Amino acid sequence: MLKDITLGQYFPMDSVVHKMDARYKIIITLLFLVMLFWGQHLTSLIAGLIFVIIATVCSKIPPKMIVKSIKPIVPILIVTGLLNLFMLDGGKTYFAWKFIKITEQGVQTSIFMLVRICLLIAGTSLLTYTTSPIVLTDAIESLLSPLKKLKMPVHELAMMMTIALRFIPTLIEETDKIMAAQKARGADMESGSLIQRAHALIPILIPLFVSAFRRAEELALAMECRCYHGGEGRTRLRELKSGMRDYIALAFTILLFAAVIVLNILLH
Amino acid sequence: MEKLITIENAHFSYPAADENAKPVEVLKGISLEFEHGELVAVLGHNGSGKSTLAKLLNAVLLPTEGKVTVTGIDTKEEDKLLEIRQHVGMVFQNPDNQIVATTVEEDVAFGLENIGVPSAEMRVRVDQALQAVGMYEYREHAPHQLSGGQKQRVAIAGIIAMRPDCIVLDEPTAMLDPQGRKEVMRTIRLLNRDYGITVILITHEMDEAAQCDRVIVVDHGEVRMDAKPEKVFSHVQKMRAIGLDVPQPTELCDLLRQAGYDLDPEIMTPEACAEAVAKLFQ
Amino acid sequence: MPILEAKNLTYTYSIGSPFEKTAIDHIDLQIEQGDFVGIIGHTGSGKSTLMQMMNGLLKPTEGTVLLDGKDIWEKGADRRAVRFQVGLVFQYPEYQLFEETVYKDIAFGPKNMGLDEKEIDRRVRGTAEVVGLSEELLEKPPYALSGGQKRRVAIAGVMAMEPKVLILDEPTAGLDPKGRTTILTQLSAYQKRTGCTVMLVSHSMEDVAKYVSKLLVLSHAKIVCYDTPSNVFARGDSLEEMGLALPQITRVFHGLRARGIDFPDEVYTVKYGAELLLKALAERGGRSC
Repeated sequence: MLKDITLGQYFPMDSVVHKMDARYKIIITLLFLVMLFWGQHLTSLIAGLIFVIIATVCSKIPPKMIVKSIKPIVPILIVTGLLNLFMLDGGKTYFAWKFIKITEQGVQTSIFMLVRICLLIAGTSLLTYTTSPIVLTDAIESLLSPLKKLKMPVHELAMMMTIALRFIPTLIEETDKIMAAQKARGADMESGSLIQRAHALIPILIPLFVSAFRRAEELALAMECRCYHGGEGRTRLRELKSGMRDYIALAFTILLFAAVIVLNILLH
Repeated sequence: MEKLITIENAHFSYPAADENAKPVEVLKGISLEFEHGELVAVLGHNGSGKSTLAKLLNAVLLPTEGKVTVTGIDTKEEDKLLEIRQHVGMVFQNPDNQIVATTVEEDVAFGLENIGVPSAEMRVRVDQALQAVGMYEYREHAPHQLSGGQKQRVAIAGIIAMRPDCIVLDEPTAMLDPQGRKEVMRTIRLLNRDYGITVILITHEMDEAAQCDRVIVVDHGEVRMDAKPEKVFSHVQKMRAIGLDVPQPTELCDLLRQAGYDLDPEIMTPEACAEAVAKLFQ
Repeated sequence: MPILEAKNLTYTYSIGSPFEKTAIDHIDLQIEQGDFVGIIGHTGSGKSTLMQMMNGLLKPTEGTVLLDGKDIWEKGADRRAVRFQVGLVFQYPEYQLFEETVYKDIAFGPKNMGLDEKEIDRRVRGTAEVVGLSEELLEKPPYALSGGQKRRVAIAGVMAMEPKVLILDEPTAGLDPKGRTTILTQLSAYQKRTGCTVMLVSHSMEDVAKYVSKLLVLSHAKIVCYDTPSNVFARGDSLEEMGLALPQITRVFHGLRARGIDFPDEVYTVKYGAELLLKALAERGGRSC
């Protein structure tokens, strides 16, 4: 059933990482990503691995969950790996048959690439695993707030995100209900050609859209009645607060990054 | 003392659908006054104009003719809009479509955030409001994990956190099961009694109106009756003609009275009815 | 032979997960042809699950449903055909309207049955009349109708499939007293005219009591009782313990009984109550004069 989909992939737990200021978590994740892709040297991968291991341990997220996050991209990994393996030419040749050639360069790059993508997914998953979507939205709004001066609708975008997150479960439930109701009137959604099946979606999509519009209208009225008038002069219940743990985590990431840069220059 | 809300000869028409049609007049000259601390039901069937009347009370709609004032402020004063809405909060029928945030406490805080309450004070007011409606234990729940009655209590908490003088509830129980109805009615009676908040309950359920101190019957955009519930329901035929129910005990007594038996026309509860009928047998 | 029968019927949600919940727990039930059954029970008692199993929308975890003595979950059974014979009207059915005219929306079910144009036309017009929708409304888009009218369009959409059993989940939810009476009277008339079986889920004892011939009370996934309204209301206290409110008129007569004025019958309509009292008072008056 549609209801079984879990959204946001947030795992509430009591850990240092969960308690961190989401803004810092975002900045640190961005730094981590830059570091991963900085330079073609092994050091950046080792540093990235160290980072992910420490972050996982601190977050108390079971490593199984990290592995699980990589699963959906396995096909992408295979394609990328194979492409790099066969396409790149250079160094010793390990294997050659007709036009297919596997070289030292190819093997190295493809392993590099795979490890890098895995680390990338693991690192970003850690961010969403340890931060609730609503807090994440708040943090993004806060980080982007300088853009307000450039007339970017930062607050409005964040509010839209929040409302979307709020209504996804409601609309999923509603879709279930409408589907059952139309099936009770003999709607056939399981058989027929592709076009027939697309046609069979109309009795579900139209009521769903109508209902979404009605909800939007009522919600807008309710928000207006509760004195909503845009982001101006708004305060927040949960203020984002940074503390020692955030500074330490940031300092650690920067140091790690610096070490990668220095090692890269020295080893070049 | 100044009246909380006054409505003077208010008319309201929705604009015509096309050029040839006439505008639809929904309210035809309504005059009412609401005092501080009242528990009032506005009773009417669907299309009687009761919801439109509710929307005049916090300047969601402005009367096309006549005047509405809230604590002395004319609702037409556009720059006082936020002030008016802090005086008069509103709860709507569909509990799902008025909850904005993804957790209960964030939603209760929504109004306070809008009017710029500092976050430390907000924390206190959110917690108090949640305790007042008995939803404090659920403060970290997501709205879709709650029952209809609980969601409606969260919506009420979101309003009372703003410390309004008055809450207008527009058919707050229409989509709830009996359990949810009980919860909501208990909550609003408590808010009225213990916190002195004026409650204006828009409803078509006679049993809910019977729990209020004053019942205003609206029909075809006009006020037909305005009295205490016992008095209003004693007009059994008139209520029927309007398309509204009366409590079954009142109806029973009315049938017996028509047959010539002497019974108080203002009996509403089963207990009082049994008592009075038993006397006939003595 | 009962028209619809549940045998050892069970349904468990999310088996094996921490949210596992048995919504219907080994129920046996026989619905006779022509009965008008009211189903009451508080939210979460399993009413909706039971209804959806009765027309094959939900597959029972255990047990089965027999329609006309045939197991609807038998291998090779046509479940789509079952849904045409056991019509199900969901709560707030007006939210499922989607066609551009009322006519087309009512015709959706019959069209899915593969009927010819002429038969569809007969059914659409016939049911529109049953639920009191005038001819000119049929060509209007559903959104142009009032809430009560939309509700009746949706009900007509299921009636037009001419099911042997019509099941409705709270058809009066959210309507005002007049709207409620309209729908319930029309349903009652439809049931009398077609002689079909109707099952009606409702929260309002007072509404249900006036129309149904039998009451099914559900609580915590089990059947508490299935009997005539009079016999069900006789167990007043146990109903109130379940959080189900008795009709107020029944409580008046329980109050009278406590005061030593007893009537053999349970009273659940005002009209009948007044009749009983007037007769008793007249007899008394006759004696005392």
